[in-house]
Formats: sequence, structure tokens, C-alpha cells
Amino acid sequence: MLNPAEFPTSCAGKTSGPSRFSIPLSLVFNLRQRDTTITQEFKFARILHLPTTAATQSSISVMAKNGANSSPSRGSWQLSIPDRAYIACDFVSRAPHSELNHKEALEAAKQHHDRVHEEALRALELYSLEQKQKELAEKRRQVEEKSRVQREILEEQERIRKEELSRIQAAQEAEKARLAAEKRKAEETAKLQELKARKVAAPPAPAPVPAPTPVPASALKPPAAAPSTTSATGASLVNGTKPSPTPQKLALSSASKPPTVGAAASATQVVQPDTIKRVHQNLKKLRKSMDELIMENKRTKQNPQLNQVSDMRRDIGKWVGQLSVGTGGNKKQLNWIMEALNKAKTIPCPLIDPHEYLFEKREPVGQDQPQLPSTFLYLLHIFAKKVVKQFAEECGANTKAADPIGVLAVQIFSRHQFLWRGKSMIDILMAKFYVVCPVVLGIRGNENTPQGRSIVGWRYQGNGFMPEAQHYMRMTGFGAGFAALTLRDFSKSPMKPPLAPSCYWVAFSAIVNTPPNEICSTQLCVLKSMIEGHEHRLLTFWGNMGIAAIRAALIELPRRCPTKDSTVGALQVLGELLFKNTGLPTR
Amino acid sequence: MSELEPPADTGVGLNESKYEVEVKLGGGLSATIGDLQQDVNNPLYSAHTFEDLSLREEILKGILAQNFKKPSKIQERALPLMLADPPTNMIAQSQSGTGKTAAFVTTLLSRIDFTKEVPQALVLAPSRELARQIQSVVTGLGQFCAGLKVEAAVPGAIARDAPVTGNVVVGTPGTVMDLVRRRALNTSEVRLLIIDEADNMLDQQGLGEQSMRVRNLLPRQIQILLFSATFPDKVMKFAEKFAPSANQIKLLQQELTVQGISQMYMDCPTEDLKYNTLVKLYGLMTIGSSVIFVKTRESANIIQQRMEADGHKVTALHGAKDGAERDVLLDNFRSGTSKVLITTNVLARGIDVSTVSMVINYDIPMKGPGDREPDPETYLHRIGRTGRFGRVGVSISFVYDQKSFTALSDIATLYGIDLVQLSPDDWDFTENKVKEVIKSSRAAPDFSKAGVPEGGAAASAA
Repeated sequence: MLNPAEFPTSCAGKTSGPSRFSIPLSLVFNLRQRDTTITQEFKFARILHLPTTAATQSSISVMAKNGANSSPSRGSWQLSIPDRAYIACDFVSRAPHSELNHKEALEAAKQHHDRVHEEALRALELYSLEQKQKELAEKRRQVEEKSRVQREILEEQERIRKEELSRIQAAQEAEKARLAAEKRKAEETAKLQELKARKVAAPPAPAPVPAPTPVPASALKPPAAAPSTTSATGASLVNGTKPSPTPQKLALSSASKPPTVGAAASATQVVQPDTIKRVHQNLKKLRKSMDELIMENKRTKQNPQLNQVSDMRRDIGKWVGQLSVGTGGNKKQLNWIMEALNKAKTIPCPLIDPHEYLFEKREPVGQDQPQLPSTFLYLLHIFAKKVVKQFAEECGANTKAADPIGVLAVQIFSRHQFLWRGKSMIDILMAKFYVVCPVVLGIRGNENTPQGRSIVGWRYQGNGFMPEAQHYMRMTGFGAGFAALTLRDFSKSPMKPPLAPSCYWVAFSAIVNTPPNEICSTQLCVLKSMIEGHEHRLLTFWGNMGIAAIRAALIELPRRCPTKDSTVGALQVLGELLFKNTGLPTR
Repeated sequence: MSELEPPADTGVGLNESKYEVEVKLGGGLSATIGDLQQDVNNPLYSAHTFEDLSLREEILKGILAQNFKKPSKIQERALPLMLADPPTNMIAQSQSGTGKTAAFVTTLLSRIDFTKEVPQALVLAPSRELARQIQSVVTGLGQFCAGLKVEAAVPGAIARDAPVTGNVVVGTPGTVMDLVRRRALNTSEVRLLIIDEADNMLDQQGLGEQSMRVRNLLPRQIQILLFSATFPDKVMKFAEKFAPSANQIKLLQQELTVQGISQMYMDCPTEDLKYNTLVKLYGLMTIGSSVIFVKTRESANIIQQRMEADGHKVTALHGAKDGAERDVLLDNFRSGTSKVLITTNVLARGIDVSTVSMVINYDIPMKGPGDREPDPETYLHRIGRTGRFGRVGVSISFVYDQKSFTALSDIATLYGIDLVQLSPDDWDFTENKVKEVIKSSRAAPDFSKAGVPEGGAAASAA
């Protein structure tokens, strides 16, 4: 901007009277319109030697300082003062439409245009930055909102879990108190009776002690989300009835109706390791005695039907191994196995009390036989054994193969003709399963020691433990198999599930809630394959609670693990994969 | 004693079996692995975990996603050499199912610039099936690598006029040659060439020559990795010419007979009774998937029909089926939709379906005019389809006459295999025998400490 204070007044002295007014005016008109008035006033004042107003002075100085708002200066005005004086004089001397004048005007216009352009660009950039800032702020708000909601969900879950735990504890204490009171009462009554009995002349005994009221169901429910108590004793649920309370509640609250797993037949029961061992040993004995019986019969040829049992055994193994992945297509295999088992019931052979192979005692129901043919129990056990073996040897390499095997096993063990006293005999299968894969019971061990390895089911063969890779492959198969056995939807079936989904939940939480310093790779390996490919089932059964469980396993558990080995990494990567492929918040 | 209980004397510890690998460096230095591997700066450094290899995070994630837990023996030794800078050529010999494919795929992924959509790595395999299998391994291990594009250069897979834009190309030599000649495959940015099953390339008419031509069309300064299960002299000469100044890794010779596999033979009374014996085998042990090798396409089809009628899910795969059909059939077998694969020699090599637990040589492999002499190498490759990654595997060969018996015993003598005889007369006895054989083979060397892939080929490595 031209500073009028520096205007070359010296040139005024070189010009004649009338032109004294025209020179400054012609220059002033080249200035920007809005500055014109002020500048004009100043010029006139200078030329006429009039005093300028204070307002004009200050406006001029502002204009002088604020170059950005000024109009473009001409090239000649950027020269030093003596030069400008010369040009101004020259300007006066030449025609107003001279070439120089034109060029200067053009140059000024160009500069003005450039500045406007630059300003526009700057404004645009500023605008886009502001927009970006707004977007980021919005994103941040969304993320914060999301994490807040997630936090609230988790807090709510925690609250419910605590409530449930305290409720169960209260119920247990109440029950204890009641039992103690009853016991006291019974003792007192007994004493009284004794005293009365001593007094011969005394009246007859008082009214009998009232029958104990049934134990409240809640007292038997497992603390689903606090399995550390379960795992500490190495116990778990089998033949579960209801899904554990917490998940059920949350599933309902998330409006995803859980299937009618509550209809599963047998009572809730905690299986002690000793019970598992007892059943497992009994099954071994059964197998041994039946093998001997078959061999003996082969020699004596007394019972021709018994000779077929070997072939039936091999056929069962064959069909368990020849199931195809994908829906349908395995009906033939199911029918053949059922046919073999039905036939086994008709073969003359010793009868056995099935309690030998069950975790709990069962009361008679209707016309149920107190004993069952040993051949039938033997083949049912063979079937269970083949199922577990198939999990170990095939499903570790291809976890998808576990599903048809699980379906087949659950179908066989839920069939009416293979129930005993109204309940499934899947204990025969689970006894074997718990022995080979104890980590689903919450059991863990230090894998760097032989004892620890034995505890977690690391197989010992030949002259040492099975190689690491093979062990983890087996465990992967068992994890997939366990999920395939327990996560079955019977809501549309008239039959009852032999294993309720709550068994899955209990095993899952037993692993997830392991104290960080006790976590072992076998557990993580089993957990991973329990989740992989079954995430939709978790959502079906437990809704949001299922998502929370998956997050606990794939995000929180790896964070807690003190060592970050490949099994920990594999869980984290599964979380990323689920996020990538399904959109579940598992990253 | 229970399988789960350690012996009373636990002094045996955790029993990690070992086997020897010989390493020869390109500079002529030869050493058997020893103290050198403890030195991180030494090229013979042995990586005990994948984390030791300083791989890119996305590659490491891919490895973990495929359930690999630790590098296999061959990977421990080969990967540090292959990943070292400047890139050096490598000739590696290792038996099937020990993690070769995963090793070279990891190297390949480490060398690719995923931002460029031009071929940077080229893998040549002798057959369509093997090329597709390698493609799926690359896709599986590279699933977290944004920008990775793998194309299979096999007949019918790439559109005639379309240029190849994948940054990794896996193909058969013929198709790759064709693509380069038509200028559909830009080789200017290729920095890595891998040849799998090099011995087989040389066996097949012209494949070795074609591979050499492909090599000559590539830039001069590239890294070449050459893999094979066997390295006869002929192959070794070719390999050394193909990949000059290469580091060499070899399994010691006596380890090459696939010891983890229980090898048996079934003495059938007549050829006609072979089928009845075959279907009985499935009840003897726990079987996931199985492969039956037969001599002719016709017998493959006949056995397929009979087995399907008996309730098995069977796929018959042989040269009479076209490429796309073969792809679908093999995918069905891999996924477990069908559990039995009947095939001729098409699949004898390299195909890795992790769930295969039994291989049956319905006909003993023969070669020469009129099938006069036994074909030991094909036998080795056939049985190598099972027992992948140290898993339990069983092979049963059927003999029924003097010729087949002599051929099999010749093969057994050559490799020093102690074949166990089975008889179809008493199945209880046979069942017990098979159990014993499997049990004793479990104490076989640990060829791999690596985690085992699940989900079929994408996750597994030859």
C-alpha cells in the first residue's frame, strides 16, 4: 500500500497551479475504491496545506499497516523515494494512456488477482481443516460413546455376577443354617425319644420329623461367572439343566430368546475328579471283560450272535470316521450305528447295572430295567471312545470336522431308546472326554514339568511326552469337539439335549477366569478352538453376554497373560479375524 | 501304564526328539548345526520362535492365525538364511510334511512390496493342484497383508487378454512361459523365484527346461529358492546350475523314509478280494480322510461307485477330468465333504491334505515298459500324503500275486523299511496288530515342533 505520508510532495513544487490538483487525484483514483475517500481527503489536505482530521490520520495509518487489505501497489511505488519522485514526475509528463501506465495497471491487477486467489485457497484450506477437525471430534465422540456403553455393559455384567454370587452364597448359608437347625432339632427329638423310651409309662413318640423341604434350586446352580471356585476343586457341570443364571438373564435382556435348554432332563450335578476316574476305570474294565468274553466265545463258538460284536464295533468306528462335513448327508451313518446299538440290546449276554458308568445315582422311572445288556453298554462305550478319538485325530487338523461328529454323538445319546431312567447316558462319553481333556474342568498345570503335563492331559507315549505340536493339535480337536457336543440347539427338537450349553459356559469361564500366573498354553489352545467357528452359537445362546465372553477370552485374557507366547498371540489374532470377518467387537 | 501317566522315573524329562540337518553355505563353508546357531549374527542362527525372525507384524499374525506355534526344524534353519540380506539363493531338501511350503511362503511375503501391483515373486510348481495349494498357503499366511494379491498361473485361471497384476504369481512353468511371451506377465520387478518339487520338474517331460527358460526371462539379480524332497545327482546338477552360489540345507539321508508313517501291507488272496479287504480297513483304526492310489482311471471309477454304494463319501480324481473339475473335487476332499480320495499318480506328490491319516496302495507303483519294475520314488511320495507334520499316518499296500509282492519287497529293501504283514483272515487279530504298529510308530522322530494348521490346505504346508 502506498503510504500517503511518503507521497513525494517535492514533485508538487515542480508543477504548475492547476496540475497541483490533478496529479494526486489521478494517483488516488487508482487506489481501491474503499480507501479512496480517505486518501483523497488526505491528499487535498497535504496539497492545500490544510490540517487533516484525527480520524483520517488514524485510518491512513491503519491502511498503511494493513497491507493485506490494501489495493495493489504499482511497481513504480515499490522503488525508493527518489526514483518514485522521478516516475511521478514522468507520469505527469506523459499521457494517462501511456504504455507504462497500462503495464503498471495490468501488473497491479495481476497482483491483486493473485492475492485474492491465494486468499481463496487459504480460506478453502482452512475450511477443509475445520471440517476435518469436526469429523475427528465426531469420531472421538462416537468412540467415547461406544466405550462408555461397553463399560456400562461390563459393569452391569459384573454387578449381576456379584449379585448372583451373593445370592447364591446367601442361599447356601441359609441352607446350611436350615440343615443345622434340622439336625439340632432331630438330635433333640432323638434325645427326647430316648428319654421317653426310658420312661416306660410315657406316651407314644411325638409326630415324626417333617420331611426335609427340597433344596432350593438356586443353591445348586453353579456360580457361572465365578468358576474359580469350580476350577479350584477341578469340578464342573455335566448333564446340566439350565444355562447358568447370568448368561440366561443377559440373553433375555438382549432380546435374543435362548433356546429351551432349560428343558434338559437331568439334575444339575457337580462331577468330582474321583467320580470321573471311577467311571473311566469301570469302562476300562468293561472293555477288557467284553474283549475277553468275545475272544472266549470265538474259541468256544457257544454264542454265534456274540461273534458279530467285533464286526459291529469296527463298523461303529468306521462310520464315526466317515462323516462328511456340511449339512445332511450323514443320516445313513446315524441309522447304521443306531441299528448296531439296537441289535446289541438283543444279544444274549450278562446284564450290568449302568450306575457303574454314570456320575450320579438315578431313581427308577416307569418300566426301566435296573440292568442293561453288557453288549449294549460296551458298544455305546465304543461309540463314545471313537467319538473322542476322532476329535483328537481328525479335528485337530480340521476343526470343521468336529461338528458332524458332535451332532452324531448328541443324536445317539439323546435318542429315547438309548436313555436310561429317563436320562441320557452321555456320562459314558464325558468320562473319557474329561480324562483326555481335563482343562475344560478348569484344571491347569505347569507344562514345563512332567507332572504339570500329566495334569493337563499331555499324552505320554513310548519314551516320552507326545511332541508339542501333536499335543496342541489334539487339544485343538478336543476344544472344537467340546463345543460341538455342548452348543447344540434343541429348541425345535422333541428330545432333550444330553449336554446343556451351560456346560460350555462353565468350561469357558473356568479357563477365562484362571489366575494369570497359572494360565497354561493347553488351556488357551482349547479355548481358541472352543470359540473359533462357534461364535454364532454363543450369540444365539447368550446374546450380548456371549459377545462379552468372547471379548473376555480374546482381548482381556491375552492381556493378563504374563508370557506372550504363540498360543496367546493366536487368541489375539482370532479376535482380529473375527472383527475383520464378522464385525464383532473383538479387537 | 496309562498313556497319560509318565513313568515312575521322570528323569526322561520332556523328551524332545531330534534329527540332523546339514547346512552348506554358498561360500563353500560346510557345517553341521552346532554352536554357530546360538549366535544371532551368524547366518546359521537357528530361530526357535517365529518372533525371533523379526518378521513383519502382518506376516506374524498370519502365521499365528494358521495355528503355527513354533518353526519346524527345517524352518528353524532355513528361514534365517533365506530372510538374510542381501538375499542369497537356497537349495533345500526336506521330506514331505516338514514345513517347506510355509518356509518359502514366509520368505516370499517378507520380500514383497504390497503397494505395487506388479509381479514381484514367482513360484513354479509341477502340477496344477500343487500350484493352487501353494496359492492357498500364500493367501492363508498373508491374510493380514493388505495389498497382497496372489494369482495362479495355471491353465484356465487367468483370462486370455488380462494382464497379470498379482504381486505373487504361482503357476506351472508352461503357463508362466506362455504369459511372459504374450507380455501379460511383467517380469521386470520380479525379485524372487521359487521352485517347488524340483525333482519332479526334471522327471516330467520338458518342465525343467521350461523352468530354465522362465529363469532366463527374469532379471539377473534375483533370489532363487529351490525345494525338493529328494535330490538325486541329476537334480542336484540342475539345481546348482539353476541357483548358483546357493546355501544348501539337507536332511541326512537315513531320515528320508518317512519314519512317522506306519507302513504295512495286506496279503490279499486274489485280486477280486481286494475291494472287500479295502472297505474293512476303515474299521481298524481312527481314520479322518484317506487316499487310495490305483493304477488306472477305470479302476478308480469302479471303486468309487462301489464305495459310494456302501455309504462312503468318495472323490475320484484322475487325468480324465478337466482342470476346473479337478479343482472342485480336490476342494471337496480338503474341506471334508468327501472323506475318500481315489486317484492315479496325478496326486502322488506334494498335495497336502492335513487330515489324511491313511494311504492305500491299491496297486503297487510300477514303472518302465509294461510296468516291469517297481517305482520306489512314487511309493515314497504316495505314502508322504499322510503323516503330515508329525501326525499319525498309516500306509497299507495291497499285494495279491508274486509280481506285486516282489515289487513291494524290492521297495522295502531299498529304503530299509520294515513292512508289517496284515492278513484279511482274522480281523480281530489284524485290528490288534494295526494298533500295535501305530502305537510303536508314535515314538518316531519329531519332525516338527510347529503348530499344526487346521482347516485344510490353506493352513498347511508341504
